[in-house]
Amino acid sequence: MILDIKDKNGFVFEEIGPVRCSIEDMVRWAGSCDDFTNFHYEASAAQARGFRAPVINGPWKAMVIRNLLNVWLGSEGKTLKFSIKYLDTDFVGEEMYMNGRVIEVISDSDDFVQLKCEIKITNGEQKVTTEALCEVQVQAEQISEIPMARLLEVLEIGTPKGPFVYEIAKTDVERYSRVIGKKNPTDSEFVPTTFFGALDPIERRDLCVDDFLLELPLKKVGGGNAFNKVVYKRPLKTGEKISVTTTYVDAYIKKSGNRTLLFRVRENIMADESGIQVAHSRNGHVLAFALPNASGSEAVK
Amino acid sequence: MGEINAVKGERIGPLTMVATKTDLVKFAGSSQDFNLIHYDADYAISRGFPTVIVHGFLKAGYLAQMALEWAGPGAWFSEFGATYRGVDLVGQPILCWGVVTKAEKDRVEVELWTENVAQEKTTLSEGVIQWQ
Repeated sequence: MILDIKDKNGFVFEEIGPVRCSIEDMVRWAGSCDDFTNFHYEASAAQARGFRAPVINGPWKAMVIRNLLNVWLGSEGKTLKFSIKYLDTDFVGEEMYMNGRVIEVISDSDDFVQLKCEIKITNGEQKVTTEALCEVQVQAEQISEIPMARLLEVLEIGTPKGPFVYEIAKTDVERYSRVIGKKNPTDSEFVPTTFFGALDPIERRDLCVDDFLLELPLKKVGGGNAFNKVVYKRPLKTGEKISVTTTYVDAYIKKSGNRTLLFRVRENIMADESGIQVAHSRNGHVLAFALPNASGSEAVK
Repeated sequence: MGEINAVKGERIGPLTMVATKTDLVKFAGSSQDFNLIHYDADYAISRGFPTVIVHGFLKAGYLAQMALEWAGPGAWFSEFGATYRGVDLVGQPILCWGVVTKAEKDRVEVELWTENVAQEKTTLSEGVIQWQ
């Protein structure tokens, strides 16, 4: 499929035109559908009916529109619904322009995308002569592997990002402390051990570089945090402002049974307002995919 | 500086925690981790989970806090790490355990872990506790 998943809604197809239907097209159509109404291919018959030239068959235009969708979508789509309105006459030999756009994404799964499309035919005087609505189901973009090159490009391994500055809010610490089961959430100025995760620009989504992984048309079978490790120089305290610099240091794939695990590893340096390092953490996120033909258990760096 | 009379092999816990959806939302709010897999069941299912899952950091938080409550006033982790081996689901009991692996006068090393209802270890953790 030529459409990027995230770009489908409102997508405008590239205009096709000018297109001119020939007498031969009309004769071939007459022969194939056994409709020999002569004003579609014989100029004199058309003029006798008051037309300036042979009239293009409506069903021929419908056929062209349905084929156009396949051209635009880049694959053989399955037409689920189709309706067409003939608003004016198109004539053999005269200009026609085909325009289309996606007006609704009806459903979007890993396997199929169902779209509602609007297609219009416009004549050389820019008058719309034909309007069609089509619901079509097309196979979603198929890939079979994790695009590591793209991932490494966005992660910028080894390049520090930040600093991101976070104030450790007393209310956040107290709420956090309660949830993790601290008996007296307000009895210490030290923040909980794992609060370094709340100061992580990736966890907070202040830094989002690999979101495209979730949009990949690959079956996801889990994921999340893989590991976290922190070394503190001293405990962090409520009210402090901490500067965090994040650096991706690694990205790799491991296969586990029929799952393919994608790890992204980053290190965070945390410094206080004096610029003194107070903590260093190493964190790994994992996404699990069920890739076609995946097997084995070897690690792939 | 405080100290503790811990010995190698001493058990910490157990502590049973059950993360409700409200807990997960509170944790999301206080940690700024608003990943939908922790509170939107439909999204979690689309990502291959049976339902919403407990934050890894929350499980690690249970373990660290359990150990600090055991260690007493002034205790803090100078080093702490967690590896997440399995998911825990909202509303299901999480059993937290620990053991002292090395004990010195002012420094204790511990291993900690969570178990799910099937007695599978879902979080493995280790750390160094010191006293202020």
